[in-house]
Amino acid sequence: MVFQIQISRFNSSNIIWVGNYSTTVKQNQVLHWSWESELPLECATHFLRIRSMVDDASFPKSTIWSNWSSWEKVDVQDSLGQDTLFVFPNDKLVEEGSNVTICYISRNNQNNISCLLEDEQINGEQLDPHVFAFNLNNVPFIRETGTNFYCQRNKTVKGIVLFVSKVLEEPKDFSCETQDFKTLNCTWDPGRNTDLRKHASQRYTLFEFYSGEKKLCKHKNWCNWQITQDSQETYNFTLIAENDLRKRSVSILFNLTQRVRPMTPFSVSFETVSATNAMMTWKVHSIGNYSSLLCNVELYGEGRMIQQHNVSVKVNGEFLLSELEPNTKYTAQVRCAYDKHIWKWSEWISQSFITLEAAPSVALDVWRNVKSKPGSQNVILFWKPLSKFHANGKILFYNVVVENLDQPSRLEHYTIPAPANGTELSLDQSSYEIRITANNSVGSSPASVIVISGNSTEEVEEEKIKGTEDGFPVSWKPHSGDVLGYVVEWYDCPQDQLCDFQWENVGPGNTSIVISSDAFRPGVRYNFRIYRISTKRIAYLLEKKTGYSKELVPSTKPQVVMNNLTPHSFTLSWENYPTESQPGFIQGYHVYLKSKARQCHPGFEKANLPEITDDPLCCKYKIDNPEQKRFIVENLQPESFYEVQVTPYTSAGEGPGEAFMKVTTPGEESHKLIRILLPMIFCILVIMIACYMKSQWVKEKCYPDIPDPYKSSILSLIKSKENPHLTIMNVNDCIPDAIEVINKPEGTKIQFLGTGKSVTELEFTKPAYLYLLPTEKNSSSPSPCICFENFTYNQAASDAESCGHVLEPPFVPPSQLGLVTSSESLLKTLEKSYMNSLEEIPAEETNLNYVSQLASPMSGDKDSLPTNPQVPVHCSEYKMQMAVPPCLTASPLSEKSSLSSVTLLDQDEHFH
Amino acid sequence: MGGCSGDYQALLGQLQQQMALMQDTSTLLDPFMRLEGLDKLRFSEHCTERPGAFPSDNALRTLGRRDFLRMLSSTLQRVLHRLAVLQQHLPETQDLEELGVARWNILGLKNNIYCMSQLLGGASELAPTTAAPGTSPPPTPAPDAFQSKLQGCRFLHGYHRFLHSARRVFSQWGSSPSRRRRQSPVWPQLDLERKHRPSRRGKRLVFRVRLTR
Repeated sequence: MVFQIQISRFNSSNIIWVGNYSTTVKQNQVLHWSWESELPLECATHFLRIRSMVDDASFPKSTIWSNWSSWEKVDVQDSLGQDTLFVFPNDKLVEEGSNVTICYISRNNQNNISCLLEDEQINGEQLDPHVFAFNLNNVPFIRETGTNFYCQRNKTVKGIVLFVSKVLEEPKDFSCETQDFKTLNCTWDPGRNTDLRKHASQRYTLFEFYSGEKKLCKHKNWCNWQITQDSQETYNFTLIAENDLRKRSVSILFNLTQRVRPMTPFSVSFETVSATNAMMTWKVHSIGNYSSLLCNVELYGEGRMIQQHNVSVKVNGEFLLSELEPNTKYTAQVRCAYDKHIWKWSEWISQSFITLEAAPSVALDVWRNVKSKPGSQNVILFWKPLSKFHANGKILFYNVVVENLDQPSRLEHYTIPAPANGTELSLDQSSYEIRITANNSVGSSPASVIVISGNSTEEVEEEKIKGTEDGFPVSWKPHSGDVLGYVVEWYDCPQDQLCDFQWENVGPGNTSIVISSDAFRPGVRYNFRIYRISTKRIAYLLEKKTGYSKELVPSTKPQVVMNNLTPHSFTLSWENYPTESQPGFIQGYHVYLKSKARQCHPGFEKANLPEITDDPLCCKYKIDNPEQKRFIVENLQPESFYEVQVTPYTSAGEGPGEAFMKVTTPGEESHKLIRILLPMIFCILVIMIACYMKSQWVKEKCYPDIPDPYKSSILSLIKSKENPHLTIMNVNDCIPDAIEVINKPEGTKIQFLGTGKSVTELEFTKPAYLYLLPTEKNSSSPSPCICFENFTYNQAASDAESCGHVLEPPFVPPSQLGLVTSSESLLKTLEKSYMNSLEEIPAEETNLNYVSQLASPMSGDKDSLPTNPQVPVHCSEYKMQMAVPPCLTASPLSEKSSLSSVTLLDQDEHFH
Repeated sequence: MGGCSGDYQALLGQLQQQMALMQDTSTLLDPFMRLEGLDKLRFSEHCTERPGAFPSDNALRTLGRRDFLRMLSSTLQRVLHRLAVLQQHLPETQDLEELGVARWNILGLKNNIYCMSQLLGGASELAPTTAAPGTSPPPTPAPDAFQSKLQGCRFLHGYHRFLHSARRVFSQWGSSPSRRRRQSPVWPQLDLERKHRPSRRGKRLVFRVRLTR
């Protein structure tokens, strides 16, 4: 039958929906039909009527619609209760993206109702005076606790929670497998979760088509299915995912034997592990009678797979792992699969083991460093540690056996504990054979043999080589003789330090090798020595090489010294510049010369340096010989200013130089003057030195010591006669009475008081001697004076080199002159005595003493001459220095003993 | 005293600190409202405590110490059940962690209340709390979801207010467990009044500084 249904809203005439419902009916059957209104039914009165028609070909006459039933009213508002505000639908579940209509019913006429969706106020459509509707389109998922919609009026709030669910997805990666033919484990990816509070309805169901069985799964991503015993091989599973809003399904069809994934093997162990073999055993879970597994065995060593094997296993698996390395840790793992159809491998299970040790398999790589001393030789042995591959275990010690080849019976054994990589031996000048072995807990390695020859005094030329990015290409001339091989040795460190001693063995057929090392640094000089190893294992030095992996510019600046400066040249020298310690081979030097000249000097070329400008002109001279450390800059202009600099250079370029030296060439005249002055100064110096050396002789010749009056024969004579207690000669006892002038030149006029002429009229062109002679005993003069010539002040005496007593023409006061005149005869006597006493005075007693001058009461009183010029005046005044022997100055001068003086009125020279 | 501390001051201090922590709405109410999406209603009148849901401030003050402890313990027990219901209604994937923490804190608080009751001589009236925090009450028919959210908000609001009031009561307790006196709703003011008023009996009153309401 077909039923036609009409639905009206608010009133029966407002038909909002018409639909047909066809179904097969039976007698007295109650039919159920549902219709869902987009507007909650609580918010509006709905009316419904229905009519029917037989829709059956066997009843063609009945194909007429029946009459409409009366309108059935659906109104739930009366049953809502006494509240004045309602919001519908309550707790509705919808899918994300669907459209929803929400309404509220207000039983008051107040219109101050505000409605908010997630705290945002929204406006609705008024359906009737009490009902407002809100259409929400494409609602989003916000949270699992639902989307809140509420309306407020005064203190009343009413709301609903709209549960927006995510859309249920179709399960992905649905598959089933068995490990034991008893249980099928089915897994899938459920996708996103659609469950909400109050609506946790997402569920999964397994349905097997052939058996018709169904199972509700407890989990959302896997489910176990029990395999029946009826030997069903083919399965058709349908996985049904559903929630309250949607249902989805996915199916798979498979043969059970093609969905076997064995369980992980267990009880993996290793039996009879030796140095090179190990027996691996394991067990597998049975998957049924007559079934076998294919197991995959992999062997890993040092992180990489080195062996892989397939083994067929029923219950217990075993495999012999061979070709293993001694004392090595290995990891073996195994997994299995159903051998009839490999669907999936089981999980891996792994286990590690270590093989046993074995004796070291190769001889040590040994080299030596020999330093000969007188009568002995110091041998340092080096060896490279064996690789783990060759050591076959932990090396415990090294054995060194030293045999004296000249005395074969003598053997010396040394044991060097590991991890040493060398030892030092002090041997005599004999030849020795040294055998070195490495030892672990199992045994010894083959011996390395090296022979030390007692007389190894090879000297070869050193040759320069150039390093490249790949290393140092070292080659040597082939040796036509017994050659076991070659050894190239070098030091990784800059100096020849043993810390980084390296060597490489080269076969007898090779004469070149590229030496590379991470330790090589640019600017460091490395020295290489090539040895030939004879068949007797004696090393002979073949060649020496030296070079840089990369040359750098010189690192230090030369200390340049300038000398030989002339008006036209000067010399530069830098003798102390260390060429060997530079970070490259010094190829030469550049001499830069700045001058105000417009052209460079011959041999120089204009320097093109960025930091050098053309003003002043800078020229460069290139010295190609690194050993030439002296350079003469020539062709210069006198009295000109120059700047000069010397910089070394290598193949890498020019190094640093000191700052430009500033030079100003001297003029021609000054240069000549220097040529004259220098010899003169030299000559004067020579004379002065000679005089100094002959000073004693000159002294004796030119100004001998004044004789000691105490030792005078005259003094001794007086002492003996009158006063034996006197220690000094009393001048009263010595009254000069005459002056004798010797060598009086012509024209010289000396007027004595006795002649009546003034002394000022006297003129002396040449000095003359004054001899003070003692007066006679009966002389009436009470104070005679004695005078000695003062050689110290007699310049003429030294000039004449005759040491003659020179008497200057003095200004003589009349009284004194008178006194002198009266003592003339005495002076003559004194002269003789004096000269005799000089000969008697020892040299050390002939020093001169100078008695200071005293003011004379007569001085300055030229006019007050004594009335009696014949009476001598006391000589208590000294106006001039007088040289007297030390004996005369020993006692103070008394009035009685005051000396009279004869003053020669020359400006500078006085004689007493 | 079993596992209880006999140090009254330490126990009282611990009770006050626990309540100071638990009365803070950020420990439970605020995260709950965020989870339910009702932040805007958090401070509205629709989220205020329903009268009678928890003992009022005055009611707590009028109680003697032992009665107060008894009331506190029984109320917290009801809170535990209600929190379990709330947790039940939350979705599995968004379990409110703070709910579980709050339940553990209530259990600890109840144990301290039991110990304090022992100190005051009323141990038999209260039993120590040993219930596991994960035990849930049987599911009860819930009202519609929106009303449930509002009820949860009101309940938690009352819960925090109740703890705040109880803490204030604890803060008025004396320094000795043996000191007993009947407290009145206005006794803080009385304390201050007594401070300035000479005793008629000439007895020396113990001075206490209390905050007035």
